[in-house]
Amino acid sequence: MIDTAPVRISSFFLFVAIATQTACGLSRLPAPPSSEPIVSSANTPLRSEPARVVDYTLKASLDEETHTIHGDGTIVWRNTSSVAVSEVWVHLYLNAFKNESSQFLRPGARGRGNGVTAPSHTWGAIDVRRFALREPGGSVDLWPRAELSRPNDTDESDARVALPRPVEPNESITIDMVWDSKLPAIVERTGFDESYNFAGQWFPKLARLDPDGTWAHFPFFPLSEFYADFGHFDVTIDVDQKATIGATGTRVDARVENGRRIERYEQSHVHDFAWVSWDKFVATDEQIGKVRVRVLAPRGFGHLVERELATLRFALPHYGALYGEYPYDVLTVVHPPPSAGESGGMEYPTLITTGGSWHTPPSFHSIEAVTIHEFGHQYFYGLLASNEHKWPFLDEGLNSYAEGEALHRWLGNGSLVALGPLQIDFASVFALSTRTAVFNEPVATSAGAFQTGSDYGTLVYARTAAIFETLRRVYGDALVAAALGDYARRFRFLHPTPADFFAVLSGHYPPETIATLHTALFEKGWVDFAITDTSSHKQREPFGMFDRNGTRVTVGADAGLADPPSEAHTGWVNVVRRGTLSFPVTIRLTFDDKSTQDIAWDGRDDHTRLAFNSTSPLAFAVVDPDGRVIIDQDFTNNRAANSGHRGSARRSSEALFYAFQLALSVVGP
Amino acid sequence: MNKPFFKEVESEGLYVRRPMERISAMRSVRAVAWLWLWETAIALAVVAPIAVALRSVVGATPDGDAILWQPGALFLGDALMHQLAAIRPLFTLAALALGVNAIAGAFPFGAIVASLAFEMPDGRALRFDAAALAAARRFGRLLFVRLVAFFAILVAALLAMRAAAAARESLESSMGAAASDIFAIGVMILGAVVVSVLVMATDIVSVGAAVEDHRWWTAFRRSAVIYSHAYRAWFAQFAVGGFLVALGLLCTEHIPESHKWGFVAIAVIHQAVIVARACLRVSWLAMLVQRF
Ligand SMILES: [Zn+2]
Repeated sequence: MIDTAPVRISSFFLFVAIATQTACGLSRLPAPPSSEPIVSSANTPLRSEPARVVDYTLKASLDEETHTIHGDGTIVWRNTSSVAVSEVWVHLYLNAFKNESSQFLRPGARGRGNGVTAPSHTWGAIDVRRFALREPGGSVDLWPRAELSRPNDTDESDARVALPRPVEPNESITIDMVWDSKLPAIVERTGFDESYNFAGQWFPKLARLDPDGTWAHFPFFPLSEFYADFGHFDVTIDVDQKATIGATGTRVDARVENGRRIERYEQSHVHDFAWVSWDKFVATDEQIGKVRVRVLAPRGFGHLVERELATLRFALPHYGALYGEYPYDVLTVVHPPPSAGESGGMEYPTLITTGGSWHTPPSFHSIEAVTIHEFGHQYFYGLLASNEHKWPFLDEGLNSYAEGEALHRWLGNGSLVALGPLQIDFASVFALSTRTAVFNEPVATSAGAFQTGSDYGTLVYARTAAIFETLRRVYGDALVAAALGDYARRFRFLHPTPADFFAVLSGHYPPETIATLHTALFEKGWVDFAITDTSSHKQREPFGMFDRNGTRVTVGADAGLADPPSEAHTGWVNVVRRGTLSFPVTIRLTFDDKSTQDIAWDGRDDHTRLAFNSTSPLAFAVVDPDGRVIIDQDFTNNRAANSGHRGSARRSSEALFYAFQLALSVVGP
Repeated sequence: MNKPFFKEVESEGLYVRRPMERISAMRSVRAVAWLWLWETAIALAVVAPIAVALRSVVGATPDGDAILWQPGALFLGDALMHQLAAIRPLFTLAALALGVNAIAGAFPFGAIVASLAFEMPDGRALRFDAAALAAARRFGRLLFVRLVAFFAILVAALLAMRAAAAARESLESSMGAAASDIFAIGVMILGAVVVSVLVMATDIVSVGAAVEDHRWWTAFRRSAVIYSHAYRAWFAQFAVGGFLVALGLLCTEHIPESHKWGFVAIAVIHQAVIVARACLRVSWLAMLVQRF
């Protein structure tokens, strides 16, 4: 899912972008760079398929009048843990929209602020009619004994179903089910708006059984997303014949019968299935490499469809090279109508939703960003499938880094906004937006434990991205690409944890970098470099009274400088590193004669005094002049002018002056 | 409507109406000077404190303010975050300056029109003090015209926005979002045309009120006849003014701003654009003065 917090922080930039938008050509995005990404993890073997744990064969019939999906189908589930289990947990996430007693809609629920956006006029719910275990002696309906909510809690989105007998390790069971899903009016990830129906979290879905035999189950929280086992989906969707369907997987059958459109979709090696139907979609198909891409968008959005396709033309090979080839044949991109924008910016296996108004200026790359972000989730969510509830930074966080990296590689420094001299990079916005929240809670906090939705958005998305961007800038592209590429390949289909992640990274970075990374993610780590003092003077002997050869000699300003008079200068610069993170940095000295000297500092100590010799007095000292440590809390204290020196602001001042004169000449006195 | 009205002589005999053939921007350097000085003074008042704040932000940087325009905007964002508290009052200051311009601008406007319409009894160009006196006398009338115009423009703009929003709302489900938005933009453009007519009419009525020494409302009557002819001229000066800005942009684009003389050249070109735009506006006002 895409979070709005970083966007809110950057609203100033957006304002600038939109307010000064000029009539630019629509297709000014640069072509993909010719140079191949630097990846040294390409040799890591790529697993071709996951362990097959759960298969769903479902039929969904949409009642367009009541926006209710009548469902029936079968779940075949295998116990892949090491212990016998006597219950299953079933996620009934549409019940999150049933009433305000759900975890999702409860007033004051974390991440929802004050404005609880309950479905504005229609509630949603999922009612299971039958949940029957097939047994040799006939099937047993388990639902009458299902426990929809816990004592002391009214949420009904996480149900416990007791099994009549334990299921042994490696044993499979088959469950037949019948249910009705009533879609809510569009709310965040699911629902309907007039004839647009987006079905996410629409079927009873098994939670994931961890290898130790514990069920990783949780109610639907506003901030947390998903965790499930891989398997095969075979879903038949039945809607009004006027509607166009988009769904996870490959369409294997399509027919029209009695005014109904019936299409069957299949997909292996995925852990969720979503679909959408609308009678006003315009479909655009394109083959990108081995992948058939289909974009479904409202009328009049053709130029945005082209931007989304251009993004995927870059992203598919780029992510493939960095994180391993995209293993599916299809990718469906849904651009929801503006009135159903809440269903935009969301990821499901082989189906993503984007968003943005048709007049989004080409120089503001939000269309490209949301497309690449949701596509990136095919890796960080889809293929890696970490527990997103427990470790959101492995999902949204790494995905946001990948998003910023890809956009920067494709669009350069103006990866967010490219408007004449104003070039705003995603990484800058990510880094600057996290300066306050970093002290609130660690990045590696579980989704339900963040104090606010803003902290979740800022820390999980932006801070993780900024931390890895710092690694990239300080230690180089190749290293971070190799480390993340190695991780994404090795743990494809394996539901990795932070321990797995760090185990891979330890093979790429030295222990002290790993320690810094750990502090940054788990311990609210922060850093602020600053220049605290400078000194510069001519090289000379010490002043004072000296006893030389039995005579007392006075050396000093009055007595003249040491002989011979020299133009050589010397001095020092004091640099401090505040905070708990350490990175090597460069200190750049600029002298009166415009010459420069770079001094490297390993940044391990809290502070250092760096001496220099030069032929000209020191004018300026800057620590980390290129902003490599992008998470530096304050760049203004990274710079110091030696006495008597002053940087000029005349150009910007003159430009402002001219702009204001022009404004006055337009409104007139 | 070319019949000039220049019989009036101000009671003090300080200045007299200029013969019609001598009314032009070219002959009224002082009118252009009034306009340029006013724009420059207001801009200076607003930008000087901003320049001081900017210098304090980039003063410790070898490249000065170039750091703010580094690709990626990391340091620009950093500076904004640190200076946000300092920047906010500057926005207030800029808004205040525009407010002062809207009200007190009636004074330089009066002086500009006086510099065009009148001259000293001996035929020399109107002195600054005489123009100031003339402007002071007409200030109340001009201010009244301004306020009425301001509310008329506000009402027109609000109505256009309401109409556009209503059109968009009612058409969205049948036409789709993009088509209904384009329709709404069409409504807004119509609104912009109405607003520009009002802006132009404000100039006409203001000139009338500044030239006619008695009943300013006769100016309004007269202006009803004039504005049907004047719209083309008004639009022309508007378009040429925009062209001048673009030309300035084109000229300065390849000048290295980091070089000292490059910076001076850019500043000179900018002021040339401002002065040329002032000449345009004064010549438009001169055309109106000729018709009263
Ligand atoms: Zn996301």
